[in-house]
Amino acid sequence: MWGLLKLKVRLMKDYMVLYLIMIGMSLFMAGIFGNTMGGNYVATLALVDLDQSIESSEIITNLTSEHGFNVKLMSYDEALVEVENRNVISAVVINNDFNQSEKGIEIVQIRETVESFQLSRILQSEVEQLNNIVSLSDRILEVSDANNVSIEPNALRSSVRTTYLDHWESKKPISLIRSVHNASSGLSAGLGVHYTVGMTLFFVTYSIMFTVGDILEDKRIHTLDRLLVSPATRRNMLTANLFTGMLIGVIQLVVMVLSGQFLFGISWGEHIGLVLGIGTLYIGVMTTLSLFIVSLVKTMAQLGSLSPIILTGMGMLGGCMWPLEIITSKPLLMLANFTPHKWALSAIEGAVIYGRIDQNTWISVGVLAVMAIGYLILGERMMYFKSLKQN
Amino acid sequence: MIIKAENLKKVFGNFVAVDGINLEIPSGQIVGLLGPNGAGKSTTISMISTLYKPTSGRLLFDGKDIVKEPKWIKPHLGYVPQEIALYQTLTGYENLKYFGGLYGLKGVELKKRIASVSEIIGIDDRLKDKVEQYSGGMKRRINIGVALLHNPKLIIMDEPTVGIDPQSRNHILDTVKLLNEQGMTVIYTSHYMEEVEALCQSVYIMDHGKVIASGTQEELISQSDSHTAIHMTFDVSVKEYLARFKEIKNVMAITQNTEMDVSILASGNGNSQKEIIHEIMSMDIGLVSFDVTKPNLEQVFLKLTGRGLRD
Repeated sequence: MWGLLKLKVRLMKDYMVLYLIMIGMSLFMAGIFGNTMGGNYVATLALVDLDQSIESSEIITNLTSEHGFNVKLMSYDEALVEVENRNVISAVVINNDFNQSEKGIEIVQIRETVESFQLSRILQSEVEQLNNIVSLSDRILEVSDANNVSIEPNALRSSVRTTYLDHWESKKPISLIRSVHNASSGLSAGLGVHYTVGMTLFFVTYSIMFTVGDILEDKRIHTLDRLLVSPATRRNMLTANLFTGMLIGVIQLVVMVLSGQFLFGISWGEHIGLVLGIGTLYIGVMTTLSLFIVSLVKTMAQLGSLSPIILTGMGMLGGCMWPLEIITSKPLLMLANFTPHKWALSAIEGAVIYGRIDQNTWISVGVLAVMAIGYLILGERMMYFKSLKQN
Repeated sequence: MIIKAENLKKVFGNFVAVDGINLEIPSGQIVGLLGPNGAGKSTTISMISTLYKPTSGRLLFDGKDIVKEPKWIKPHLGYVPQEIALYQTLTGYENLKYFGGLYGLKGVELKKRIASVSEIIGIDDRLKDKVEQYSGGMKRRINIGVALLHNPKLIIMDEPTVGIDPQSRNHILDTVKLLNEQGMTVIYTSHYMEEVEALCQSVYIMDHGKVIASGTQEELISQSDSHTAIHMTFDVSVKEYLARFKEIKNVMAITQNTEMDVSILASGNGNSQKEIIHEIMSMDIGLVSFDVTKPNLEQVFLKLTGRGLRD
């Protein structure tokens, strides 16, 4: 077994150019996508402030300073023109008395994009915060009225608001600890992470596929016969190929994690171990999936033709090229669940962007583990039947 | 017997590649499997080398069933495939090292074996070069060397001299002889009759998946009823002497090719043609030249199958 492992590791040198291209491509693509859609890119939105209140101005300030949007104040008609001309991602209309009327805040956009999706989540959060303040103030008023205590409603709301914002964050009875890494970059940070991780997960699959497919090369150059005649068992040979596939995958993952940190300024934070763990599990899935695909073909040429179709398709469906949040098609989202990319991306992004390690993380880990075991069994059985057929 | 096959059969789909053959290969011999392409030689040795499982029949290595106990047999088996089965991007040394590692060789022992094998195959000065830079003959030699590293009891060579220059071929044949002198049993397949004649102590002739004849070369020749032919050229017409030629002992038949050229078919042992030539020379009728064509395995095969080995 060790002899075979040493041989396979030595033969990895033959694929060095492929590995370098794959690492180079993932760096290049992560850089291009990250900078175009994340990085220094700042999304512009049109803002119509019909309320002109303290609350509305705070929302505008938050959008600009905390969330990194370029906010242009304008009239409603001007905003519609800007949206139609696609000069802005969306128009946000803060209606008069938005915190009391049914109209509230409107988002006007032509189609859903990743930026507009994030904008709606931010506004949702802002609205919820205001709702809490209004609701709390109303309850206090009800209690004070019942006790014949007279309080001026506007003064109460202002007081509640100040207390809510200034004190509750540090004195709240139940804490939800939530850390946002690289928050100064706002929206761009999430996309930077997404494309670095997405491109790594996408390109690493090619390196793995061709390393595992080396068994076909052994067949082509007739060394497979020599290996089969030797005391090495078929299972030893599969293990050696899977090991080298995983090894190159992990090397590529580590290179990308380091590059993400030092080239793209991504802070992996305290969850670096989890990122590497989930990444390694994903590599395990892709290695066993590669074994299954290799078992379906007879030659390296067939593998070379088939693998880009399968791997690119899975990468696209799984959200390596764009965040799945912008996908609205239910069939596509359903299909994404069958790709390991989706689960790995979701778990890694959850940990890095939102600092979240929760049930969803462990569900992703579980799904990836099941996929790895499933593909391993399928691939191993297919290889076994193939050898029986040959015999 | 190091190898014993009983009613060995291998079927691929509807095609019967090996059809119930029996083999008995004694230790320490070079045994030839001779036959045209598609005769079933490679399938037979693939079964012996554990690559294929027989469809039916029994195959024993030193009394142990090859199908049931491949793990026991593999360390004692060296296999030289028909194709160059080497990693072209590795050096000759690396190929020997990594394949030796598969047999559990390591450290000083592995180095010693590499040195010994590279000396036997005569390639020690080029070991540091990549295999892709080797000539066809050198690749063939290292192809053999890889199979020798673990010092197997039995080495199986599947047409090891295909497509190489005469010098490399002679070196390989000398290597096979040397290995046999050192006590190694060799199964040698070829469709080059001369190689089998030069090397093998016994021969199995195969055709269409069956063994059609077996034995030592002499036994095969005598079984096939083939005879020595003597071609003679004279400087005068020999028409009037033909009757006298027919009276010479061991002359079976005479064919007059031209007025001054005849072919005589001789029976008997190796001395019979000498006596015939001596007798004709003593007639002093102007014998200019002669050549003797002894029966060989090619003729045996031709006689048995009605076609040549390389047809």
